[in-house]
Formats: sequence, structure tokens, C-alpha cells
Amino acid sequence: MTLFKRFHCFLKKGSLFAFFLMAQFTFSQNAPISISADSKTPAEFFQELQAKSSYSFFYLDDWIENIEVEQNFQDATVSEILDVVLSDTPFNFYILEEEKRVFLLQNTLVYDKLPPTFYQTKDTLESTNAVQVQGNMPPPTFYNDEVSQTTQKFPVVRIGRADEQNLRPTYTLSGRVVNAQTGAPIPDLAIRVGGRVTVTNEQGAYELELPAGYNILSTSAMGIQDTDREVIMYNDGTLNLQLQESLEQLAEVVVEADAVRNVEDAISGNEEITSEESKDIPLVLGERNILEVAKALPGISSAGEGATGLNVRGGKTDQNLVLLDDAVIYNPTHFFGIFQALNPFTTEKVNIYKGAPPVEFGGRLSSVLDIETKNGDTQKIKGEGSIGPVTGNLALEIPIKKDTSSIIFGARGAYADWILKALDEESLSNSEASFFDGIIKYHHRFNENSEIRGTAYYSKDNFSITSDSLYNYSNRLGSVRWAHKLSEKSTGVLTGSNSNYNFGIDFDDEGNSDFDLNYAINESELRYRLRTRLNDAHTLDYGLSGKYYSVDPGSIEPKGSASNVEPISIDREQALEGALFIGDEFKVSDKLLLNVGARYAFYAAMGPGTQNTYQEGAPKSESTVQDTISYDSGEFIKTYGGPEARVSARYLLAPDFSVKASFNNSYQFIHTLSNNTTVSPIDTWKLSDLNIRPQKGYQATLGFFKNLNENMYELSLEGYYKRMDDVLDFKTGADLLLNENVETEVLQGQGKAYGVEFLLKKNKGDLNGWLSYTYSRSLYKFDGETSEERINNGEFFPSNFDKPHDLSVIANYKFTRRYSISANFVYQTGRPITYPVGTFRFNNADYVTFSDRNKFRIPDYYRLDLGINIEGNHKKNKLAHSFITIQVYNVLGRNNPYSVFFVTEDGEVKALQSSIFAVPIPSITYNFKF
Amino acid sequence: MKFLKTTYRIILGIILLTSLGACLDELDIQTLGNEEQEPALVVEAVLTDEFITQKVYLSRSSFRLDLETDTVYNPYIPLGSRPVDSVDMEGGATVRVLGDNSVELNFTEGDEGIYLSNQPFALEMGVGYTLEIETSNGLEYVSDPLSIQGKSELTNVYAEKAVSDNGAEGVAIYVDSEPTQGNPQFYRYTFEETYKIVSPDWSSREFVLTNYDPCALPVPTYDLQVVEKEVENRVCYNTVPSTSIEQLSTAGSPESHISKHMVRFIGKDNFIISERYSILVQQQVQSADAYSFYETLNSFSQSDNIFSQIQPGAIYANVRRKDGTNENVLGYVDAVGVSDMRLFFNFDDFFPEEELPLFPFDCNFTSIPESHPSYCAQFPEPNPCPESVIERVNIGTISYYSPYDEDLAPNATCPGPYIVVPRICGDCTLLGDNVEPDFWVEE
Repeated sequence: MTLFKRFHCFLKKGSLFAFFLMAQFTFSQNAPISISADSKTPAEFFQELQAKSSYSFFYLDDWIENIEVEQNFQDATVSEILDVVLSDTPFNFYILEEEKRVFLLQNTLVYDKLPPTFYQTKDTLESTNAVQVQGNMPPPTFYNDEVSQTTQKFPVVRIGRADEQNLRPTYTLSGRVVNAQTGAPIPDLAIRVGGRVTVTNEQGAYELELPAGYNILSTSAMGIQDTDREVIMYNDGTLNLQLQESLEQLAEVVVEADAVRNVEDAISGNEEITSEESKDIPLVLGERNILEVAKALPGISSAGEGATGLNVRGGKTDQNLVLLDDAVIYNPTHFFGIFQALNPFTTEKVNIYKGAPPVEFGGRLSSVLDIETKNGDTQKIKGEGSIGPVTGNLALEIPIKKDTSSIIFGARGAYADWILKALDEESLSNSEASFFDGIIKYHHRFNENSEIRGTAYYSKDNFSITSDSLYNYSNRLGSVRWAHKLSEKSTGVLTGSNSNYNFGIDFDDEGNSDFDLNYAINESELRYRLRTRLNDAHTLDYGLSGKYYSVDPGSIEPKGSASNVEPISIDREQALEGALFIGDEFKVSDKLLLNVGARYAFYAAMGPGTQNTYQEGAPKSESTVQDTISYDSGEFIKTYGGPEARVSARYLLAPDFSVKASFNNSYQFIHTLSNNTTVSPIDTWKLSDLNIRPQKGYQATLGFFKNLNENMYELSLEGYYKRMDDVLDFKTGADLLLNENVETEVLQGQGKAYGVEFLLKKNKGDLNGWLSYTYSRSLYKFDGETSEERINNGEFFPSNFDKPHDLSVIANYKFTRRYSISANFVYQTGRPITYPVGTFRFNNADYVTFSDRNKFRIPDYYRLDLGINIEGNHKKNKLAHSFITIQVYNVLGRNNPYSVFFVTEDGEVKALQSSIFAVPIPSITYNFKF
Repeated sequence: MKFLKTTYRIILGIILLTSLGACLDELDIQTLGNEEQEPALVVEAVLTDEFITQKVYLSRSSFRLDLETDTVYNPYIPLGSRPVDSVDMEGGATVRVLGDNSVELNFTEGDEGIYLSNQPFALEMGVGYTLEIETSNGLEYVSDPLSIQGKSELTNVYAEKAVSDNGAEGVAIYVDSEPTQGNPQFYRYTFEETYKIVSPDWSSREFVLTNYDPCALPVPTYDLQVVEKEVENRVCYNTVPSTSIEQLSTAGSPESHISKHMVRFIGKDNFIISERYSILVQQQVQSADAYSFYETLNSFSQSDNIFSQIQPGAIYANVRRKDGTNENVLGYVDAVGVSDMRLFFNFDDFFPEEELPLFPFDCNFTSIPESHPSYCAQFPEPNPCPESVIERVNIGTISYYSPYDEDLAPNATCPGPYIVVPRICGDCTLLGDNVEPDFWVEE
């Protein structure tokens, strides 16, 4: 016991880790010992060794805890035994023969000679020891525990076991960095040592040459806590890091865009929102909604609250490519767009590209919303759940194999019926609405060079507005993605996905017209994307993708034997869409960065099917059909395609100030058919064919980006001009559902949109948030040859979502560690509507006659939401950690009109204004965690 | 258990919701019309294959949006206070129908804007017709060609107790029909309903006021008598045409017989069925074009769903200027094959021993002074009493019920010699016609 006590005293003096012994060293002819390791703990083994050898051993208990002692020794010397026992450990030993003492040494060596330069003279008496070849052998490593205590958060890490035979001035440190919560690799993490920086690759791996001895590694990455790690290099070795997410930052309402990225990236007009961030932003009924938060960013809006679909930079709602783990999700909302169909607990983040998107994406004109699901935790089971007034939600993360694979699972169900009952709207009092969504994602990391993940998702909505018809719609999708490293410089990502969207109407009343109506679209995609880092200046992204669509545009079937509804089934439509793409991130100079991409989009509408041709110059209608052509299975009906450019450039005017410009064009081969002013869940998607051409878009942007006050503020001003060709609209009163010749109802025209977006963000501090203001216009023109193919006499008119002024402020203020408030303010110009300009008597009743399309506007929209977040106290040993969120949606109680419309009732015209949430809506959410 | 250090995070959302605010408010409609524009011609005609006097209605659209209409019975607007119907009828036009079998049928204006065929005629199947109009300002209009698409015979019109989409109990009226000619695919249903009204507080006697001078001094002079009624006003009949658009399509079906298609639903609390009720349903076999016109018109004038609004726009008639000038004409001209059938029923056929629907007006018994201070008194004293009998009889707002009886009007502030009721409660001619219609059949 005294032995260990002494050792501890030694420790307290703080110089244990470096011995500099000048004692003579001789290999003793110490007496052979026989010792068996059978069923002994290392401590027992060393105690026995000490007893038998008559040497005193010096070591720390916890050093030897993990030493595996398995061998039996017969007539072995102490040094022989220790050689074997310590062979695979970071421990060396030193035997002080004269004093009969044995020191175990962590990592280090005992230098029993002074360095050759110690006395500034060459020691000619040098023995033939290995030291001789170490002409520039580094000085021994000293490390004083007390000195560095102040900055130390993590224990000092000792790398490698010094090998007398292989002492070098520098050693290689490599390893992998993973997120401590999720086990996911952290790419693009900057590791700084002195003045040098290295960055982790996509698998989170890194490699560094470090001088022998003491080094400090500083890590920093977006969303990850900055850390300093002290390492002592004794040899080559690995250091895997598990880093914490920067939790404090996430609790604030901030759009995570790396401060530097804002200025330095070549691509502009992209935003990232994490699900976590959206949690404090007060929204209706306390439901987190990442898509709602997106609308607070400049350039993104919708026709109104409760309107499904986003309008990005003046584009139509069908021009957004919404991807959930690489698979298209056709309707990412529930309940007329009021709630998101994404589980907030399993959603990691969404990346929104408003400008030139990365070359791998295509097929939509306006934007890409790339939604990513979290990887499950690979360390331990985690769960999150909620029971709200509208939804019940459960998410579980289950490790399958530690550090390797995990599953994340989320399910959400809603019981919104009572809301409809509570609505002060008689026609809805018999309504019902419910929804469900579920997601499961499996993630497996084979090794540093290869990982795979698979996602399956399903959502379903049921609602009935009247008691005789039940509407339903559902999304189903699945995707598999395999990311692998081909070489040091190349990585490849293979993705396969399938998505399905369908809706149905189940009509059941007392007459004989009961029916079931169904619509479905299905698409499958295979994509292979490669990335090669050619050199410091060039990084290439290239690959190809292929997609197969099949659309069942509608079928109606009689329901019950009494029904005399005749079954109709519109022929299935099929098409192929493919693309080849290549892009180069070209660093021309430190100041100029180019991102040049090209993409060739190809589309073919495929048989079997029939298509009508129409007389030239006459409006398409059943009476102008010229010919009906039949196509065989697999035959190409019509092909479209063309090159797409994705060019963006960044020039740094100062390290924190840049100017960016971009140009891109794109094709869109699939269109929604909707004759509503806002999106409705029963809007159908139509593939381009002989008579319906693809939409084409062109966009140019120019913007200035500036960071202030050490990246505390981000400031940007960006303008865009956009032109769209062959966008779809419809003849007045078009009947789009179950229409075999939809082209007779379709108009194809032109759109233009332009705007200036201003964004000021404060990312740090007690007060954070952002202010965005957009001035924009969105105009369309349909100028056909006959009057029924023209809208507003062929002039440009504002779209339904043309809201020139759009201001959003999101702010979060932290009073103390426990109390914070959040506010969300929105002001928008009222949207345009078509207003009646007169009445006429017809069929014993009065009807209205309408103005030009969208000639008038509803009153301006504004809304303020407030939330208070109260954290429970921070006592460590409390059973449960809790926080309470109190939110009030529409604090001002503004009765924002959603639409104004006109009904004829009892022969009279009445103007009605509908609003979705006309009064303040309070909600309290209690969260706890244990 | 240590290694299973599971973190459960359960969020309990507690919502303090008294009510959710989604709502529909009625707005005042303002005049937004472009005054420079001419009001559009509105043409309405449903020409049939029945041998009758055919009608064409011509009017002009109005820029005013605050129209009230008296075409429909509105129980809340008593006669006399209804606004004047403000439809601007188009008189002085020349109207004719031309058939491609060289038939020419001329029309003559009856009431202003209503043009009646000079002799009864029926459209024939297989013949194409056009309607030609020359307005008084000399402009000529012509309709698209019209033809009868087919004929389908109503085989049954019947009523059943039912529950509406909104969950209200009531009576639904259904039709069955069989096609007889051509290829009927698109149907529109119109109806005319007639119902019997019985004055709830009818008395066989009435006031007669003569020699009334409210300005006489010192008190008004008058002769008020209570006499036996000479006019029957206990039982009346009111006839109302349908105003809604009720359509059905059997497109795609090889045999287009219709069974149990609901054309009308009447709530149990609607007083029109409190006595005997009759409905004449007309089934019109129409063209696809007409069907889509009415569907569009209908979809623009009702709210199905507050969350998604149909994109409205101008919809024009199948009538254009003969010389090809671009001018928007409203309304629609249709040629249809028709079939009619009438149905009668009584309230207790469906709701025996249940309370009758409430009479839609307040019929409180009151007692008021017979006379009032002179209007021309030099120093008028404040009069705490309500309007007197003679004043109200003079403007026709009360009916005699009985001599004063404290039990009937216990709270009268200034009781007089009579018990009176609002006129509409004792005189059904305000609500209908006191002559039994020819088709009326009592049980």
C-alpha cells in the first residue's frame, strides 16, 4: 500500500509524466520467475509479480485495469514478462536495477541519456543504441499538467507508444469525427493546429502530420461545439473524436448558415433550416413546421395561411422539387397545408435552393427543397414523444450495432376532428379530418469508406367536408442511398427511390350516384453522382439519373349495386426522364470562385396510349380533333429535352464581403392541373405529351453578401429576374378531373418574376433572429389565338400569389438561461383576386359577372405570434428536465382575409370573406426529458 | 440499467382553446364596376320539345352588386317593404327562332323584356335551331346552333324522409327516369313548388276604417268597424320557381336510366311543408356545352370548401354579335327535351304527431289604444303608448283577432278594446294567392 501512496504523492507534485533519469542503466540478470495469469485480474497479476520478483512496481491502478494478462510464464525475467504483457498497450517500462524498482510508463520513454546536444558537445562515447540514428531526434516530451489546467476541458490524449526504434520529428494522426448524439460522421470539420488547417472528408475522416509531443487541436464546424483537444504525440496513431452539437446555438432561432459560407460560397439563394430551430418559432397550435419557417425567408411565400404549396420567387406551386431523403414527396403537408407532413423529431433539416441548384437536381423550375432525416443514434436508445392538441407523436432511435448501424422511427397521428367541430362555420360542422405519417430510416456504416441508408415513409390524410364524400390522399416513398469512397479523391453516391402519391374521393349519399374516384402518380429514380477533387482548384461533380413515371389520371367506379355511375378509367400515362450532368467548382483565385455546371435533360412520353392532334390555328376542343394516333407499348409519343446551365460566381471584395452572380435555366416535364386559386389536395399531376409542352425557366441573379462584427450579423441583398415559358393555366371553368382530353382545357403561356430580397440576420447573442424583406412581382400572360385561349386580353396579369411587399421578422430574446421570448411578425400585401364587377339575372337568380383576372386585391395581411419558453431549473440531479412553451398565434387577432368570394343564395348575391385563423390562438406545450 | 440510459422526451401539449377562429363573414358589396363599360346583354331562354308558348328573356347586367331580388319568396321581408326589383329588362327587341328545316318562329314582347312565341310550338329532334335577336339600338345577335339531344321520361318523382349533408332532418325529393329517344347524357332539373299557407291567427272578422283624419282637433276623427270578412284570406297558395342549379351527368354510361336522384331537400323546420306541399319537377335533357356552362356558373356561386377557392372568371353566353364584333353577352340559350311530373305530400306523411315547423314570423297578440293624440295638436303631450289601432289599420300592418282579453295580452302597456296581431298572421294573401291552383288536389 505504501507503494501506491508514494506514487500518488508523486502525482501531486505534478511531474509524474516525465522522468528524466540520469541513472546508469544496466540490464540486470534478474532472477527468472514463473508466474501464471490464470483467472487473475491485472492488479492481482502485478501484485504477484511484485511479490515474486522482489522489485517494487510503480504504476497507477487504472493504467493496468485494461491490460489483458493471459500468458503463463516459465522462468522468465521481469523484463521479458513485461515485454510480453505490455506489448499491445501504450505502456513502456523502465527498470531501475540498483533500487530494484520497476516503473510503468504511459506512452513515454525513459531517456536514460541526455540528448546529444545537451552539453553542446558530441558524445563520442555513444553506445550503439538506436539513438545514434536519430540525428535530429526531438527533445523528449514534457507536459506539465498544472499549467494547462485552465484551458483543459477534455483529458489529454496520448497518441501511440513511443518506439525507441522509430523516433521521428513528426507523426501522423488520423481518425474519424462523429456526432456524439447521432453517431453520424461530421464532414467539413476544420481541425486547426497552430497555423495549419485540415478538413474532414464526407466520412468525417482526417489525417494530420503533427510535431512530436504536445499539440493542441482546435476543431470547429457548423452546428458543432468548438473544442480544443490536447494531444501528446508519441507515435503514429488514431484519435477518433465524438463532438457535441452546439446545443446553445440550436436553442436560438437562427437559420444555420455558416457565417463564412454566407459570403464565401459561390452558390447563392440557398438556405438551410434545421428542424430543431423551428421549435421555438410560434406557429399555429404549437406544431413545429419547417415549411412555415421557410416562408419567413425572403423569396418564399404562399397564397395565404392554409394554402398548400410554396411559391418560390414568383413560381407556381408545382415548380418545387420537394425531396425527402432523395425521394420526391408530392404533398408534404397535412390538412390543407396547415400542418407539415414531416415528423419534426426525425427531420434533421431542409436545404432550400432558390437560385441555381446543384447540378444533380433538376426537373422543376423554381426551387429544390432537400429534406433530410436524422441518422439514428448508434450509441444508445433515444426517444422523443409528444402529445398535442392536434397530433400525437413518437420518435425512437435504436442502435442496431454500436457505432455502426441504427434505426430511427417516427410516427404521428392526428385527431383534428374537434377543430373542425369548433370552427364557426356551419358547413364544416359535420366534417372530419384526420391524418397520419410514419417514417423509418436505417443507417449502416460499413467502414470509413462506405455507408448505406434506407428510408421508408408513408402519410395519409382523410377528410370530409360534407357527410357524403370522404376525401383521402397519401404519399408513399422509399429510398436507398449508398455512399462510398472510390479513391482518395473520388466519392460516389448511388441513390434509388420510388414515390407514390394518390388521392381518392369516396362518395356515398342516399341517391344512386355513389362512387369511388382514384388518382395515382408513381415515379422511380436511379441516380449515380460522383465527386472528384482533381486538385486544389477543381472539384468535379458528375453523374447521371433516370426516372420512370406512371400516372393513373383517374378512374371512377360505382359503389354499391344500386349505383348507376358508369366506371371510367383514363388511360395510364408513362414517361421517362433522364439527365446527364457535370459541374466544376473552380477556384480561379483566392477571390474568384466559379461554379460551372451543365446538365442535359431528356424526356420521352411513352406508349401505350392515344393522342389527339388538333387543327392548326383553331382552339383545341373536341370539335377540332384532326386525328387520333395510337401508340404501342414502349413507343415514344414525343420527346423533349435540352441543355441546362448552372453557372454561379463569387468574387470576394473583402474577406467578409462578396458579390455573387448566377444564371440557370431548366425544364419541367410534369405539371399540376388545378383550377383553384390555391392548391387543393385533389389537384392532379399531368405528364407532358404530344399536346402539352414542358415548362421552361430562366433565372439570373446578382447579390451582395456582407458579414459584420465578426460574423455576428449577416447582411445580404439579392436581386433576381426570372422568365418562364409554357407555364400552364386553364380555360375558365375548366373541368380537369377525369378529363380524357385535358389539353382542350389547358392554356400554355409565359411568366415573368423579378424581385429584390433583403435579409439581415443576427446569429449570436441574447437577441437573435432575422429580418427579411422582399419586393417582388410575379406576372403571367396567356395570349392564345382565340378569345377563349386568352386571359385578360393577352396582357400580363399578376398571379394569385403576387404580393409585392413581404416583410418577416423572427426574433428570439434570452432574458436569462431559463427565460426567453420569441416573436414572429409577418406583413404582406394582400393577394390579387378576381372580383365581380356586376350582376345579372338568370335562372330566377342573380349571378355575378367577374372582372379581369386578378384585377383587385384582398386587404393586406399581417400577423404577430408570440412565444415564451421557460426552461426548467438546471439542477443536475433532477429526475426530469422540463421546459414549457407558451405560444399565441395571431396575437393581434387580425381577421386576415384568406379569400373573398361570392355566392348566390336564395337568388341573391352575397360576398363572403373567409379567414382561417381570425382570433388569437393560444397554446401551451409542456416538454420534459429524462 | 445504466447502459440503457434512455432519454425519453415526452411533450405534452395542452391547448387553451376556447374556439378556433376560422370563419366566414359577410361583406358589404361595393360598386366596383368600370363605369365606362356598357352593361352587357343577358339572354335567357330554355326552348323545349313541349308544345307550348316558348319564352325568351332579355335584360341588361348591372354594375350594382347590392341587388335585392323579389323573385324569390323571402319570409323576412314583408310585402310592401321589399325593395323594388332592379333588373333592367331589355324591351323593344325583335326575337325569332330559325330552324334548319326552314321553320321561322317569331316572338312578340309581352311584359317588358319577356318575349313570347306568337304561337305554341315544340322543337323537334334532329333539327338545328338558332335564336336571333335584334335589339332596339339595331345590334344583331345570333346564338350558336341548338339541338335537342334526346328525351328521357320521368318515371317517378317521390319524397322520402332523409338527413341532409349537414345532418339536418327533412324530406328529400328524388326522381327516376328512363331515356326514350336519342342519347341523353346531361340532365338539369328545375322545379316549381307550391305550398298551402294557413293563417295562424285568422279571424273571420276584420277592421274597416273610414273617415280617418289624424289631424283633426282636438282628437282624430274616424269610423272603425269590425265586420265579417268578405275576402278569403285564411288559406292561400304560394308558387315559387327553383333558383338553384341541379344537374346530373351520366356521360360514359351506355344506358342512362336514372334512379333515386335527389333534386330537392327541404328541412323539417321549413314552414313551406307545414301544410300540404306540391312540387312539379322538370327534367331537361341538355347538351354537353349547356351542362358545362351551368356547372361553371354554379361553381362560381357557391362555396364548397373554405380552404380552396375555384378560380373564377367571366363566363359568356352561347350568343354573339352577328357581324363578328367582339362583345360579351351573358346568359345562355338552351334547347332541351323535357319531362314533367308532380308530387304532393303533407307534413304528417313523414313526421306524424310531430310539431309543425314554426310560422316564420312573430305572431304576438297585443292590445293597443284605439286612437292617438291629434297629429296637429299645438302643444303635443308626450305619448307613452304604442302606435294606435287606427294608425296601423290605416297603413295595413295589423289584423283583427278578438275583443280585448287580458289573458291573451297580459303585458300590454296601454290596452285598448281589441286584441290585434301582425297582419301577416291573420291574412295569408301577403304570402300567397287565395285561389286554389287548377292542379291542386287535396288528399
